[in-house]
Order: sequence, then structure tokens, then C-alpha cells
Amino acid sequence: MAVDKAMRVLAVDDYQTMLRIISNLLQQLGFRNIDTASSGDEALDMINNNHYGLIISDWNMEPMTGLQLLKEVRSKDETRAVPFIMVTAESKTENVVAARKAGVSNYIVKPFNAETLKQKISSVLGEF
Amino acid sequence: MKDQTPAQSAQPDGQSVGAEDAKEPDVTLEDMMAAVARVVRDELSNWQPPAAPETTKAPGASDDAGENPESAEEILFALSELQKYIATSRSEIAALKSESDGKSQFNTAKMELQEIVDATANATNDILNEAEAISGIQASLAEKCAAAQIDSMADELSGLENASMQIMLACGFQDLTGQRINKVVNTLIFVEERINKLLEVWNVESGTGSSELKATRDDDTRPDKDLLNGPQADGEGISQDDIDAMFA
Repeated sequence: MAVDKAMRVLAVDDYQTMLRIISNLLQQLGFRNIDTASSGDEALDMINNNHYGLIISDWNMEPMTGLQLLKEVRSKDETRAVPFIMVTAESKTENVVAARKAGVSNYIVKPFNAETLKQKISSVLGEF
Repeated sequence: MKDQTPAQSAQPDGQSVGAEDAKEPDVTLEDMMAAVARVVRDELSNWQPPAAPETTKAPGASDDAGENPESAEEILFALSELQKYIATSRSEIAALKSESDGKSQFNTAKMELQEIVDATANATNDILNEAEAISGIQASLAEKCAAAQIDSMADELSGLENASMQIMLACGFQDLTGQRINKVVNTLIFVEERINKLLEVWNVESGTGSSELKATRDDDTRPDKDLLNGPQADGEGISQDDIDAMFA
């Protein structure tokens, strides 16, 4: 299966710098429809009103964390199957275990490089 | 919250949750120790050694009655030392509280850390802007080369694209340093709260400490060390315009 680069992608991070980096990387990978949200609440609102093919989210945000956002996404029939990649500095085993339990599709630890992001997206969406 | 500023997350200076409900101690430990010392001294001045028991002492046993006066002196000496120790401790703890009720060193430290976060965020944004501009120029060049069917620059264009992306990725440091600084700020808040509790216990209302951060070490021997204060927060130093005016 090949990646559909026309799909809508949502990047979520409360650090504007990281949001810009991820957006630029996604553009370089060929994605053309990239939305960004700077909080879990804003992201949830956007997810409820749009159809996303991929969500890339940070974990450590307030008040809603990336894990809470993931659980919200997985709790609804309409969004249950949307690929969700966590991109975070949280790198303890317990973090990865908790994210997996909640249904995360893949997990990237910051700092990361373009190749890692490409590989993880490819692992959930298919070949580029 | 990662993007919460240290200053925003800080407790008001000198206050901790429930502090307003805490009962103000009437006497200090120092007063109590002095009172105990007085009572012990009075009691000992009236003390008489008990009559020696008529039983035969075991060989090697100590003569308790004979040691008591010496023990009393030792107790008094120990109490006096304890009193001095408490006074010193109280004075040291008072040095942690600033003379004014305004800024504490902890608040100043938190503000300095916030300055670091802000300065790195601004610098990172500037770098990102330029990296995006380079990326845009590269894309435009690539389009023009494609239109003119110029293939010889493909490697250079690809290199330019990779370089701009590497610059962007390197800017991710700001996210991580921001999170680490927030951890330090949270630790500062923890220590500040514990020290405020200590100040409460010791009934220290106004201290002798400074609210300024120490810009130089105590053992710094440079003659102009008093002039070395490091970078100033926004609005605290004078502007280049003001400096230019001084030279005009």
C-alpha cells in the first residue's frame, strides 16, 4: 500500500517550534494537507470536525495530554482507526507501554530525524 | 505544562498553599531552649547528692554519685552549645529570606530561567524563518531548473534541501531545553516551599538575604567583580539608544 499524500494530517504540539518542524518535514515528505493544533483540546475539536488520515501528537501538554487525546480518539467509532503517532520526549518504558495500551500506532522519541519520522509514518500508512 | 512559563508556574513569593491558615508560633525554639536552660540551672543549684547506698559496689563499677556534679556541668555546657547552634541556624535560615518582602532569590532565579526560555525561543524562530526561506528558494530553483530542463544542479538542490531540513530539525533543541528548564523550575519551587516552611517554624519574619542572584563567586578576586552582573532582563538594563545618547 502506498501513502496517500493528499490525506489530511494533523500535527499537535504546544511548542510552536516543534509544530513548524513537523509541518516542514511532512511537506518535504510530500503531504499537502497539513493542519496544526497547539493543544489537545484544540486538536480534539479539529478531529471531531474533520476527517484526518494521520495524527501526529506530542504527549506532554496541558490541560489535555497527548495520551488523553489518543484515548479520546480511540473511544469514538468515527476516529478509532485513525493512525496516531506519538512524538515526545517521554522515553521511559512505562510511557511506551501506556501509549501502546491506549492504542498508539507508533512512537517517536525527541530528538528525532527526518528518516525516523518517514519510517514511522511508513510503518502505519505504507510505502512512500 | 511545557509552554507554561516558570514565572507563571511559580507560587507567590513567600507563600505556600494553606500558609495563611498556619498558626503563628508564639515562642521560638531559641526562646524555649533558653527557658529549659534556666530551669535546669535552677534545679541543679538546689541539687544535693543522694546518700550513698550501703551495698557493696561491684568491682569496676562507676561511682555515679561522684560523677553527678560533673554531668550537670556537661548538661549545662551542652545546652549552651545547643542554644548557640540554634541561634546560628536561625541566622543562616534568615539569610535565605530577603530583606524586603518583594523578590526572593528563588523568584529572581525563576525569572532568569524564563529569560533563557524566551531568548532561545526567539533565536530558534529566527533560525527557523531563515531555514524556511532557504527551503523556499531551493524549491523555486528546483522548479526553474525543471522548466529549463537543467539536470546538472540536481545534487546541489538536493543538498540544499537536506541542509535546510537539518537546520529545522536541530531547532528541536528548544523544545527539549524548555522542558528541562521547567523541571529545574519545579525543583526550585519545591525547595522554596520547604524553606518557607522552615522560616515559618523559626518564626523568621524578615531576613538578611538579598533578592539578587549571585553573578560572581564569593572567591572571585577580580577587582571589578561588583560591576559584573551578566545580561539584564527586559527593561532592567539600558538600551543601545540610551548608551548612544551618553556618547553623543
